[in-house]
Amino acid sequence: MDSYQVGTNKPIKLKVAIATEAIPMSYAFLYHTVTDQAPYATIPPFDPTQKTGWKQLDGGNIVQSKVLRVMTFCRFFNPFPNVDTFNLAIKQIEDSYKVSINGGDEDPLDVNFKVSAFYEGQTCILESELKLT
Amino acid sequence: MLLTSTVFAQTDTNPVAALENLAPPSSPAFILMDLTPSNIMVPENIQAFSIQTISAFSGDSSNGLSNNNYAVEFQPYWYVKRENMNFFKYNNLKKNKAVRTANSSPEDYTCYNVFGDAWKRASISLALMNGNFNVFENPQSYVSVGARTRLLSFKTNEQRSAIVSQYSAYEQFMSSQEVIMIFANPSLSASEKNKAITNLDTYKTIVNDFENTLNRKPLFALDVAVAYSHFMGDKSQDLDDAFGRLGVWASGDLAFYTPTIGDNGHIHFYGVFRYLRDGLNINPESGEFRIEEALDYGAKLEFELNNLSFGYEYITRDINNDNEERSMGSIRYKINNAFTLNGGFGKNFKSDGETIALFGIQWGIDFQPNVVLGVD
Repeated sequence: MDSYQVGTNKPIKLKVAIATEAIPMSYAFLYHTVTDQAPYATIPPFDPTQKTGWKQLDGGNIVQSKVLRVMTFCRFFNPFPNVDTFNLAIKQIEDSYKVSINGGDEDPLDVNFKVSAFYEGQTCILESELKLT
Repeated sequence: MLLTSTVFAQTDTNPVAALENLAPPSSPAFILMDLTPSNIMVPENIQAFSIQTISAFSGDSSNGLSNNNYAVEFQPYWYVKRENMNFFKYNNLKKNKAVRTANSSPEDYTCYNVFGDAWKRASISLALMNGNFNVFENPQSYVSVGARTRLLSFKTNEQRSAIVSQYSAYEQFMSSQEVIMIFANPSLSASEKNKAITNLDTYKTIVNDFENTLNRKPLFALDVAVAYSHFMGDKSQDLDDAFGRLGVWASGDLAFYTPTIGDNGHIHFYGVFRYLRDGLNINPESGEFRIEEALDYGAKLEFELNNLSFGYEYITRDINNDNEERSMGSIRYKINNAFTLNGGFGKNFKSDGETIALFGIQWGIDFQPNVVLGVD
């Protein structure tokens, strides 16, 4: 898991960028530990193509030694004639998706992510995980 | 990969009349050479890349097409990185110019880009064909290149409002506590989360309504295409390469949504115009190639009922002040996304009043119900 040093800085901010024909909905959760089953803070879900600015984690309060998970769920509503065309649309998502975090002791960081795409329901999920120190 | 197979049949035992001027399966490079059930084709749902083949089973292939006819068609849109693409832009909805904030609301999208489909639906095709096209004694080779797109389209205020309204309903549901709890659970894999969301009854209802709204055809759409076919020559017969055929055509579609005849019911009124410069003629006296010009214009009425469509088209061809006509009924049944049946019957150009029937099967082969891509 990647890490980002936030120290006692505040606010720590998150930005999600994506270019896609789908409707993306982004979710961000903060956990006390990596094994916690429920988050202690949540950013209200948003469409990153419509809400393009920075969002404050934990309401702008200090966040320390926490785990941040960011998820984006994309649902395509344009019909795909075949899986190859769908995969090209997923490739576009891969190439354009960027989760950035800012406000810590370090320079802004682009967080790694993994993509899971599901042709049957024309959806895909992008997941990022980051330890905040 | 899409494969297209077209099977020709007719009441006459001479296949030449049927193959002459019949049909556009899909790509303009094929359409130019007159090979299909309907001369009015709408470029919808084209694959990013497809390989097409036409095989003519006419009983005597030496009189018509051989089995070596292939085309590739691709949409550059899917291969080019998009900038600032989003759901509204893809559906041709634009923000009111007065709105310039980082946070947009769906209600800001009050304008419509009538040219928004021109790039998205543009396709380029290349075909290799082999046939005598009622000109040569032996089959000859041709190379065709073509392009087509939807030049403009228009949706009504009511259609645009319905899209915005459906987006808001979807966004609201995806922000509900029920959905948040699924995404917030770290013990679920991506696949399990996807399954949990997409199996929710409310999700299914909202998505189904949304798709029905987006499937509504624009009130008006204008599709255009251009193609050129080059005769490759035959040194064994002392024939040099030469101008083959050039075509430019346009078709307008006025579509009225008629939910009373089906969830996706539409009545279409099409108008078609085509200019053809045809070098595939031999002067019987001199033996030299001769170029003829022709103008096609006509109309089509089509009823679209969910997966079933049937219609009638009448097209006049003005060629050297000598009119020919095509009067054909057509039927299309989409069994699923991968399999469509096409049929046409009636009188075609140069068929001398004989009834012609034509059937086509179009299918795609899909592998992998889902894919998993990793990015490190």
